[in-house]
Amino acid sequence: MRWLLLGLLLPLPVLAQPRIVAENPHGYGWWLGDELVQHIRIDLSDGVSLDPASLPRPRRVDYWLDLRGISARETRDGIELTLSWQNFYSAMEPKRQEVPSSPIRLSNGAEAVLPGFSFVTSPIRPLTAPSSPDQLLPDPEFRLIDPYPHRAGLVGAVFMFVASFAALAWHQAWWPFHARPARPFTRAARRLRRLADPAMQRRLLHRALDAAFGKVMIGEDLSQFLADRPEFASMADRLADFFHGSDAAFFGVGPVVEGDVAALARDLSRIERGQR
Amino acid sequence: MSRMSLNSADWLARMRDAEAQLNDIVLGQSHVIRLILLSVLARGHVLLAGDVGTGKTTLLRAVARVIGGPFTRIEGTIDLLPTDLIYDAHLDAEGRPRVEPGPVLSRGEELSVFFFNEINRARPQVHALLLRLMAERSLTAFRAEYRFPHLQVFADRNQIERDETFELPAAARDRFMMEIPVSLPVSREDHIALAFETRFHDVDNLIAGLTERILPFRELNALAHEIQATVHTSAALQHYVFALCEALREPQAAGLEIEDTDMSRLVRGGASPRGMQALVRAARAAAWAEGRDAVLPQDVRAVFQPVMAHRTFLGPAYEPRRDSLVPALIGAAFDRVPVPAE
Repeated sequence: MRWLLLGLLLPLPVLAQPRIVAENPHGYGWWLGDELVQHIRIDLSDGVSLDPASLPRPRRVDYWLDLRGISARETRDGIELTLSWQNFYSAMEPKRQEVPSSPIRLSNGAEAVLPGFSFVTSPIRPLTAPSSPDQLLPDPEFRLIDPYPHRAGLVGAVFMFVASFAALAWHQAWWPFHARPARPFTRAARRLRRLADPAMQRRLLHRALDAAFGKVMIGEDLSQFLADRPEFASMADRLADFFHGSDAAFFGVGPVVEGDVAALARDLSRIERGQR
Repeated sequence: MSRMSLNSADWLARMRDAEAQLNDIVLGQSHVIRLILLSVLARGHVLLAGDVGTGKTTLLRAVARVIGGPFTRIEGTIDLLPTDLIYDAHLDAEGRPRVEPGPVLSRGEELSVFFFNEINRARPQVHALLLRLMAERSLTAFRAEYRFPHLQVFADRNQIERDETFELPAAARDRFMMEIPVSLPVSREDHIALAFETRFHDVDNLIAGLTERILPFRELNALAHEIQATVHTSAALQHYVFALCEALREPQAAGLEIEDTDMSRLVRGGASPRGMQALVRAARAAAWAEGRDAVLPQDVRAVFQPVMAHRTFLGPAYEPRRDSLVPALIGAAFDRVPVPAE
């Protein structure tokens, strides 16, 4: 008995329920889609706070009811919660709907309940009335989004991308900026076909030989050229004949010996392209 | 003009013989020997430039023997006066002062080789006298004019010392057809032979072993004339020579490039008409010496540097580096000027 008395006198935190005052939406006159705002004031003793994790999450509570948002505001005495509910119940006739209560927890371990409420929701119009399109409200005025600045921006960005990629490719010597080996003989062979004058043909092939040698080449340099470019070694005799012919044609006094310069250029070109 | 007793083929055989004999006594200088013989064929004066002990004097004495004819030499010194070349003032046996013909005149008008040793030790007055002797092959002395139709001047200068030397004036350098640089022999065998084979120790004996007058000096003028008259230079070659000289005068316009060099300021002058003339004469001689009747680009290339390098005058900033810059310039011109071009 004495123990029981002691137990009654001791302040038990579990029993220290906070005072909860709910300001519920009024109970009538709600339609499909209406938002119902409920204010709940919770008076908390000093040092006690609401465990925010215990608050109901905005969610679909039932097939006809959403909790759209919940916000909390500290007050002098405790905390004030604002819950907005939305009703999606399509009523056939005026009907009372129950919004459920939600349990919450305080920092001192005590549990409390955010009270539910009820309201009556009604059909928007008589069920038997015929439906026609003009009953719908007109669409709200809309404004077309102008795509032009975005398109211009896209074009600019694509251009910048291509330009910077080309610059990178040039810098890194990627295709098509990689250095192709010059092919002077191939170019000369191509141009020789259009030349009829044998002197012009010879000069053209001399320029090609200069380009292949890296500097002006005269007959005396032939052995040096063949040492530098051994792939042309098989042409040694024909090249020597060509230089002798050129010496006779350009510098000599004797009769000019005509050789087939075009054929020589073609064969040099073939070696140059690695085809022989 | 004296007539030739030999035909062209004989001359060519003698030229080859002389070249072989010279190469036998002066080792490792075949290029220099060829150039000196070309200058003999083109009747041009030669300046040899090189280090001490490379055989310049031996070579020139040997060439003088191969040509034959009266030969005289003089050593360039700082107190040499122009008159010392012409007059020999001395006291005779009776103690009376006498003035007799000096080195140049003592051998008469047949003088074929005048060898001026260490020319850069003589003073500019001496160079001035030499200028006339080289250009006109004549001299006024004892109130008379002396002519030396066969005269060829060989000079040498060593490049080691700079003290008490006088750089040749541009005009005097231009009178030399070629300035041939003489360097040490390249091959080890030549060095060893020159040091160990006893025949190279006695220069007089060595030179006496040469056949005298292989190229008879009295007929060289006629030979030179025939070479110049008969060896053909085509229009393409003339354009080539002109383009080369033009590139040497205006390297920037010709697109020549040398590293670390401002081409617009490199060349101050050079490639004079006389220089071009000397180049053509030497190139014709080179073609003839190869047994050809027409000048080819390689003949021009063979003689271009010795004929043109000493006539090219560089800007003041580049003159100290001329030993490397002038060959680089000439090399760039040959690398760049196309042939046959038009």
